Amino acid sequence: MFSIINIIATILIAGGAFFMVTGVVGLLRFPDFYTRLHATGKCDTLGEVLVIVGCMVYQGWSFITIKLFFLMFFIFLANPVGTHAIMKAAYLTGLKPWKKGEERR
Amino acid sequence: MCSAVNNVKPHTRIIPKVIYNTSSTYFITYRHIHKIKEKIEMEDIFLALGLLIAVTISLSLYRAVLGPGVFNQVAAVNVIGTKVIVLLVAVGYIFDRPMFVDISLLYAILNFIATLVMSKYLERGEICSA
Repeated sequence: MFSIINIIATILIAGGAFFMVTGVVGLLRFPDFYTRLHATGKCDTLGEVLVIVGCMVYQGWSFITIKLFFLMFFIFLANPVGTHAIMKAAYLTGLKPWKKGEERR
Repeated sequence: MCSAVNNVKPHTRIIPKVIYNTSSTYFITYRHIHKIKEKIEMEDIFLALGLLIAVTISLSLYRAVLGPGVFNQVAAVNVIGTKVIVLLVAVGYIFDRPMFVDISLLYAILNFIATLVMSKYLERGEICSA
């Protein structure tokens, strides 16, 4: 049925999908803005990079693999930078971090 | 999937087969089925991935619409944008047309610039100082 390449690609894609679902659960369930960014900033980056690496493994050597590599590289650069920019803007405008025992915001 | 046609000689019959991405029926000769069968089983994986990403996008749309404060909304829009990148790659493999990677590259750049500009605007109250 499946070849070895397809099995490896399926495992990578399933791991990426797991991390993406975990990030969205964190975005919905955490009590504060900063903790929500803590969940999504890391889980989304790792999950999407895992899915794209799975697509690269499935594709084999071609021109599209190079494009997927550039896409992976850009996500690795851009996603933490965007998260940091939003967090810095929220901190400089005076949004207080959540402390234990406070109400969920 | 094609166990009923294993005893048919090649090029003697035309077998109907339903492809996922359209609702119409295609006719594929016997010789091509083995090549397409492996591809379709991998397409199932990409189809499941696309459906899962669609579910996560519609879940995070809750934060994007109702999130308390504008920063939660910007963060949720950033999350949706980065998920759409992967959704475009998966859709490209489902439709057997992997040139969708170009569109997803462009979408990644646009999403990154939108996030940066929005956060700068919320921080300073203006985008660029005259």
